[in-house]
Amino acid sequence: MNVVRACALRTLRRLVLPSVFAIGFAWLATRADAVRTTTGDADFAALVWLHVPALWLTGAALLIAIDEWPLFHRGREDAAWIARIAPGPWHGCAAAMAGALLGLATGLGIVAAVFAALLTASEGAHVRARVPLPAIGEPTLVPNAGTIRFDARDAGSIAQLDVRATPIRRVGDPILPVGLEVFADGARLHDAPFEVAASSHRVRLRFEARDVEQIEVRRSPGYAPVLLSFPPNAIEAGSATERSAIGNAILAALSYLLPATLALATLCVLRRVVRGPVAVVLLLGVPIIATVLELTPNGAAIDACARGRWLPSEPLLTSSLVFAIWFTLAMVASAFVGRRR
Amino acid sequence: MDEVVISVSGLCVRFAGRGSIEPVTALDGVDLELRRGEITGLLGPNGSGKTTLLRVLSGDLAATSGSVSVLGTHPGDPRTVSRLGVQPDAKLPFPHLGAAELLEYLGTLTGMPRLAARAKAAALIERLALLGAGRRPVRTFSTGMARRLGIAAAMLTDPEVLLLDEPTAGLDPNGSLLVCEMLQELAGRGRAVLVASHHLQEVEQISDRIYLLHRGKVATEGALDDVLGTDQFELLVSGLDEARRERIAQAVVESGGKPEAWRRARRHLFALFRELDGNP
Repeated sequence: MNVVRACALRTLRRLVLPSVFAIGFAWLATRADAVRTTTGDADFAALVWLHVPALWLTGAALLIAIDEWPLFHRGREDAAWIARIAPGPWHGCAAAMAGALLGLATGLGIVAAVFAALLTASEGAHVRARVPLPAIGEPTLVPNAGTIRFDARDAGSIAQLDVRATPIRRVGDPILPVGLEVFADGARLHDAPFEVAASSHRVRLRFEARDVEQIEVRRSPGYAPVLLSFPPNAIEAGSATERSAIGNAILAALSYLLPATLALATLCVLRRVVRGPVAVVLLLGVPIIATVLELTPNGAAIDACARGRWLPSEPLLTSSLVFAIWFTLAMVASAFVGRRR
Repeated sequence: MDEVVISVSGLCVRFAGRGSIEPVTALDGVDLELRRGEITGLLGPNGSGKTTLLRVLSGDLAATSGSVSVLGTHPGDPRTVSRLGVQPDAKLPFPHLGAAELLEYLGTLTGMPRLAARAKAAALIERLALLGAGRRPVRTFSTGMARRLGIAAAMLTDPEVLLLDEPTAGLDPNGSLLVCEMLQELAGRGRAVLVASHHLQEVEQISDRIYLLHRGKVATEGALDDVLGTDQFELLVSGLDEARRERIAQAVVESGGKPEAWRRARRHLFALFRELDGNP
C-alpha cells in the first residue's frame, strides 16, 4: 500500500456521505428554484447548481487530505511517527496530495454524472463545440447597408448557429425590433425572418449538418433602421457532432480539481509554519478565492457546461496558465521545506 | 560487540523564546555513547530533556550546537531510515487502520517491499501478543496495546539501533515484562537499544548502562554496577530461625563487618501477576 493509493481510497471512502448530501441538497435546490430556460442560451441551466456539490466535495476532500497525512501542517502529535520515514522531497505530502485528488476526481465524476442524469435540459439542448465566426470587414450592420458576412471555413461541419446582434440606439430612442435573415453559402437557414430587440437576445438556428464557407446576415426590409453591432462571439457555429451531456458535466466538475490542487500545493509550502486551524482556513479559502478571481477555470467551465458548450473546445487555457504557474512555483518551493518539525 | 553506533558530544538544544515565553535550554552539553549489544537507559524526571535528545537522534530536531553521529552519519540521513527504529511517545498515526495494516503501511513507507512488510507485521503482532487485535482499528486500542503496537512499528525493519521513548508507559506488568524480555533478546542479538523512561525500576532491571539527565545535563552515567553499586553486600538465606540469624550477624561483627539490617526477601510484583495469569 503506497501513500497515493492509501490516500485515494481513504478519501473516496470518506467522501461517500458528503456526496450523498451534496447531490440531495443540490437536487432539491434545483427543484425549488426551478432553474430552467426557454431561450437557446442556457441549455443545461440547472447544471450551474453543480457548483454546490463540487465545492462541497472539494472542501471535504481537502480536509480529509490533511487529516490523512500528518505532515501537511505543524502541531500533529502523530507526525512524530512518520516525519523521519516519509519519502521524497515533499515528505509524502505530494503523494498524499495526488491520492486525495484522485479520490476527489472519482467523487466529482460520480456526483456530476448522477447530477447531470437527474436534471432535465431545456428542449432541444445539445452539447456541441462552439466556434466563433470572425466578421469579414467591419462587424456592424449600418442602417442603410443590408448585409454582413462571417468566415465559417474553420468551423468544419456545423448544425447550429447562435446569433446575438447588439442594437445601438441613442438614449431615449424607442426600442424597436430589427428583422434579420441568415444564409449559409447563399442558402437560407430558416423559414421566416427573426427579430432582434435587446442586446442580450440570442437566437439559435438549427439545420441539417453541412460544411459552410460563409455565413451571411441580412437585414429584413420593413423594420426600423437601427445600427447593429456584432462583437466577437456574436455569431457562433455549433459543431455537427453532438457530445455527451453527462461527459461534459463530469469534465466541468473535474475542473474543481484545479483549485483543490492549488490549495494543497500552497499548504505544502507553508506546512512547517501553519498549524491546524490556519491550515483549514487556507484550504477552504484558496479554492473560493481562486474561483472568484477566476485564477482557475472551474467557474467558467461550469458556466460553459450550463450553456451546452463542449468543454474541450473552450478557451479555458488563460486561467489554467495562472494555475500552472502557481502550482509549479508552490511545488518547487515546497520541495525545499525541511522535514524537521 | 562494543562498537559505538551513536555518539553525541557537547550537544546543546535551545528553544528560542517568543513574546512572553522565555527561551529554554533543553539540552546543555550532553555527551552520550550507544554501543551494539547494550541496552542503555536514559533516565530523568519530566522535562529533563530525554525526549528532546531522542528527537535529535532521530533527526526530528536540529541541534543548536555540538556533534551527533548516528550509525556513522548525521541524524535524519535517509540512508539510515531502515537501520534506525524509533518509537516516539506520541499517539499512533492512521488510527482507522488495523494493527496489521498499519504496520504494513509504515513498513512500505520505510521502503520495505509490501510482502516483506506484511510478513514482518504478522510476526511482530504475534510476538507482541496483539494477535486478537490484528484487524481492529488502532483507535479502539487500549493504551497498553497501542504502546506495544508502537514498539512493533519501531522494530519493523529489524533495525540496528532502537530508540524507545517510554516503551513501558501504560503497560500492565505482563506487557512490561514482555517488552523487557524482547529488548534483552534484541540486545543479545547485537542491537543497540536506548530506552528513555522515568520508570526507574524497569530501566534498572534491563539496562547495561544508564545516563541520568537532570535539567538538560548528564548528571551521572556509566554501567549500572558503577553508578548504583555501594560497598554493601546482600546475602539471601533461607531456612534459618531468628537465633541462627543472630549467630550469623555475630560472625559478621567478629569478621570486622557491620550488619546493617535483616530484610525479608520479597517476590517481585511481576511474579505475582504472572502467577495470577497462570504463568509461574
